[in-house]
Amino acid sequence: MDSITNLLRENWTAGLEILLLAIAIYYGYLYFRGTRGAKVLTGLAIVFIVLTLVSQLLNLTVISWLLRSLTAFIAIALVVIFQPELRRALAELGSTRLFSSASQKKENLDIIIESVFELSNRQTGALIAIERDTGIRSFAESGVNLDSEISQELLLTIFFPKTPLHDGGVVIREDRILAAACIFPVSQREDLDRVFGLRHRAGLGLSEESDAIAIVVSEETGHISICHRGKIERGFKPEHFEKRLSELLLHPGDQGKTEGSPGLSRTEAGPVER
Amino acid sequence: MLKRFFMENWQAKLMSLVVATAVWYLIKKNVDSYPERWRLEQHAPALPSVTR
Repeated sequence: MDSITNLLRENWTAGLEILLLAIAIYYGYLYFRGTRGAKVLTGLAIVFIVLTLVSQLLNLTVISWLLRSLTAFIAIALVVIFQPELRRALAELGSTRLFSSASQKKENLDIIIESVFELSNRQTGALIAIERDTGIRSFAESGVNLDSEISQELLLTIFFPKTPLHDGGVVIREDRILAAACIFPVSQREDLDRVFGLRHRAGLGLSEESDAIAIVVSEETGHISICHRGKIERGFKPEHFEKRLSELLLHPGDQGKTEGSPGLSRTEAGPVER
Repeated sequence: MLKRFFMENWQAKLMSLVVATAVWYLIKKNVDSYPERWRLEQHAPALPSVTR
């Protein structure tokens, strides 16, 4: 016990440094995960770390010198590759969006809920993805960039049939509509009910690849479904839809509590959580 | 809550810790090997000259 205490006392600064580095790397990973440059960054990081480790362990002086010389160029290359992401990150840091209050969130959620009800009443097909912790920017970039405030009128206009933006999904992040007409990955699951069309499969596919929540309104029936974590919940009555969406978005820690509660009229297409 | 904090997205968190340890080790070894390049060498504090 004493030896552990001594070890901790002597190496606490190293532990703190590693912890701070790990936090920075983890949040950097979360931020860049959904972007187009993420694969480039991962590849570069793996090559750089492996080469450096090997050169240090085997004492390869030429490789070490090369890596040291290339570090400055790699740093400049990274700034060029991630220029859009860095600009966006700095802009977000300067805006007040990071500090949006619970009341603002509730207000935006109410707008989304009202829009979904209206779309359902009109039997207008819709697919709305709400970003959570993991970035879905790569999917947002596949559509038309909007970056506008959330409003019922805008959502209804986007999904109005035969308009250029009505096909595809809308991506919502915080209090903004990032993009419309976005292409989401289609779920390849074979155990899905045949009543689910491409729109539902796209919502489900997105929820399999990220922690985003996808709301789907059926064009044929007007039924509302929610896809999250590779599961689809459907057959929502308005009051239950509102309750469920609030649970998922405003109180994510309580999301498991009401799953399968008798008050909700819904079925799950996905038997296993993915 | 603590369990959720550690278990949620645990692969990414573990990977971040591994990468952070590797990066820390590499930097530390480099700093220890070539302190003059990093200008981290410890100078003995200059003592005031004694004049009589």
